Amino acid sequence: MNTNAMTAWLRDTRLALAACVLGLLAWELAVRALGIPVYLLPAPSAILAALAADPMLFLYHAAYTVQAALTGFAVAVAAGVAMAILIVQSSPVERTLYPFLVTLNSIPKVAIAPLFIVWMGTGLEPKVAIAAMIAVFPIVIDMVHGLRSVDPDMIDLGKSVCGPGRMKILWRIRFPHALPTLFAGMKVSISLALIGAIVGEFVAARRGLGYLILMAQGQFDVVRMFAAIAVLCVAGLALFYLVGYSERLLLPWQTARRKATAQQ
Amino acid sequence: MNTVAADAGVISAALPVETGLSITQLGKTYCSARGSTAALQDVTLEIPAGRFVSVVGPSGCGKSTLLRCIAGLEQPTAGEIRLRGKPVTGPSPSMGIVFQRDLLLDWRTILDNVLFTTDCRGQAREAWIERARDLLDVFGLESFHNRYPWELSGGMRQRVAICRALIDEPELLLMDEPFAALDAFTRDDLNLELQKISLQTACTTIFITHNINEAVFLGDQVVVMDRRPGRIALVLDIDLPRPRRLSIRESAEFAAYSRTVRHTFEELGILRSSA
Repeated sequence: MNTNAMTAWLRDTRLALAACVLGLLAWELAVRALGIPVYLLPAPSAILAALAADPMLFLYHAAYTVQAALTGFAVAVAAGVAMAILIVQSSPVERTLYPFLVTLNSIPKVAIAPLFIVWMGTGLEPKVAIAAMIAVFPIVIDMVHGLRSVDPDMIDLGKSVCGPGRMKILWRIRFPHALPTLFAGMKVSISLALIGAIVGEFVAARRGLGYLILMAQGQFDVVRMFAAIAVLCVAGLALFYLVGYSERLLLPWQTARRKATAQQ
Repeated sequence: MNTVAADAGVISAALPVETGLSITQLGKTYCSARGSTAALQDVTLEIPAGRFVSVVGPSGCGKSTLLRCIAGLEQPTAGEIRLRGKPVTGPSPSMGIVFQRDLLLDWRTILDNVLFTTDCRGQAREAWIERARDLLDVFGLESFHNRYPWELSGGMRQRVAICRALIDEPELLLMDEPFAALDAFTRDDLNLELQKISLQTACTTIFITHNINEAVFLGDQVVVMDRRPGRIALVLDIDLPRPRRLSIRESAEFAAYSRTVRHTFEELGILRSSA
């Protein structure tokens, strides 16, 4: 990031940063003033100290969780986009696949997580599967919406230009038209993928932030629990902004327009 | 590529010389649960190659349906359409279409939008990029090649849509109320620019509008349509010298043509002569 981008970023986020610092300060003061015991609510300084004492430990577990979330997210995007295309292109597929997806989505994933452990063991795979299963739904919904919301005249234009082939119209018009909506779905979905990874780790794991939280709970180490949650929070933010950054990179026309309309 | 001018001299036994588009007893009836609606009835029209034909009529007179049938986007229920002797059965690469909305692709730059047609047909960019640039220059868009559509005004966007339709020198240019959404000043500008470009190219043009002055100003011929079902009420040849200036609209001949069209609408009960 060059200096210009850095100052722009600071300008955009200074309010959020100030609010964050103020909130932490209030928390710190309240804990000290009210004498809240550390096993109920540790002060931010204590959490920070725990993080600083063993950063490699948190990094080690965070890497595992992020890996599971990102892999699950990637699977969800690939499968979700493919399913959305099938749903839009063929109405028999829509009539069979759609109710199935809705049913799948209505089952709380926490309830089927143990099943995945039985099927896939306690390694990374069940976490990836659960993350993907939670994350896929917004991708399908938003992608279908994006593919369908093309102006009918635009399809006529496509027919007159490309001929009657549906694949060309899909690829040349529907797909690029749907990309902004796909990214909206991806922004929701990336956070869900992280939830999925943690759920998987809660059920059975030997590594990961979810595992770390459970272990700390067993030892009544509330400070470590908070430290792990803080790391999880940072990881979630980083993943969300990663999607936002790739959107800016891949859809330059969209970002510039959004900025221009926001300024009006 | 065959040009219309080259074909004009060829004498064919089966076809009248210079026939561009021929529409014979065209009918289109929409069937729905509530019954059938006749949108077009018995439309017959012979349009010589290279002609600029304005079709004018009120909303719901089936003029857009006529255009969509010519474009091959809809199948007529009666009659037939032939483009240079060949029946039109579906969308054809020898036609360019401009719709009322510009329908530019948000994700493509202006230059890439103009090249959309040739890209879709898998043709090499190098072959067309010069023509795309020239077309944009004619419409005064030389400094916008690498902009995105949202950065342009409505009039500029519609200019790009016209460039896109003209990129591979279509035999037939179909325009469905392309300037209806624009303000009067922009509309005048675009009328002049459209005249200029159509004098430079040999393509036959069907221009749909509900504006009588626009129809007379642009057309070699004005086709007046009656509504429900859409029928041809009058075909009027406009014998005004080209290039026409905007001031021609104040001339007596122009006024006479406009009056003829307006009278036809009054007789049909579409326009009222007094309050």
